[in-house]
Amino acid sequence: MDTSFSVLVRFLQQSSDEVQGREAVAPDMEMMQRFEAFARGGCSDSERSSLCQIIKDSPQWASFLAESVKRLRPDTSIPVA
Amino acid sequence: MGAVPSEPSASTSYEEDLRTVSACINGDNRALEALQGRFQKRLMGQLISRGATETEAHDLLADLWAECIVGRQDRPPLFEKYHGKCGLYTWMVTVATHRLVDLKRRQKFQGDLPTPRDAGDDVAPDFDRLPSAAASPQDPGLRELMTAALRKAMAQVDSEAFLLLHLVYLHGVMQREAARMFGWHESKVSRTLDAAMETIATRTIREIKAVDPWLEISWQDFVELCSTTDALLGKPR
Repeated sequence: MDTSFSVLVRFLQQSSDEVQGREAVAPDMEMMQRFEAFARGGCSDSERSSLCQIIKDSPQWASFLAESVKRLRPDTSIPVA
Repeated sequence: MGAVPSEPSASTSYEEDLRTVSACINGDNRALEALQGRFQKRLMGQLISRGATETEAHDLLADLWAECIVGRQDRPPLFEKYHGKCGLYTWMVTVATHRLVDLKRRQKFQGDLPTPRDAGDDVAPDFDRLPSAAASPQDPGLRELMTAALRKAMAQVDSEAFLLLHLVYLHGVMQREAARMFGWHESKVSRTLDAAMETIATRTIREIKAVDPWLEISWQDFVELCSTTDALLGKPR
């Protein structure tokens, strides 16, 4: 993994009063459903472009999309007793 | 794209640096001479490679060493701000680079000041406007320059690449998972990430050169300066 990007993002966060300490506001249910569809690869090109732009405008939401992706991993499923 | 050079764990290898700094502050001249012997040539080289003349680098380092040990005016020794969050050499080269930017800015400002002839004979040159003391590490010159350049460069990355950078490099999404999301081959994800980082690097350095053309800073220097900012400005452990 290229660590440069995380260094840059951290630097920007430290340099920005407006970002420091700001809580990420959770997306609403509809947005979460759009994220889940995106995570599954179920978006059209235009829907995907729209979501990418939304996250560029609100980068803190990338973590919610990432969580949607990780929930699809087989090893995160609830083990059968 | 090169990763930031890793440094030893702060809880182990920087203890020696902390001890050295403590000895220097407490008047151990042998410790100071040994430190200068280890660092001086490297620091000179770094400053010159970043745009200082030899004289500027020499004078800047002479001031810096003095301030590290005895402070300046009402300020405590600069070494008291070293808390062992990064290597001492990295800390010093970062402070020295901030000083260099400040020096160059002062020179530019000095050149821009109106002379009595420019402003009328009844107006003396206002040299009091010039900063009288060298910049402290908290002075915003270099940091603001870096922040503005990086923000502008990031804004120019297209939204798909921007999202991929966040997902893969910040949030641990695997490239093959990202490929599935986008309906791409995994190699396209990899190429997009590389191209986006290259865009950020090239445009950031270009922005910096547009503001301060004398500043010779590589991308690796830039990332290293970003990574040491926290250590430079941070609080004691």
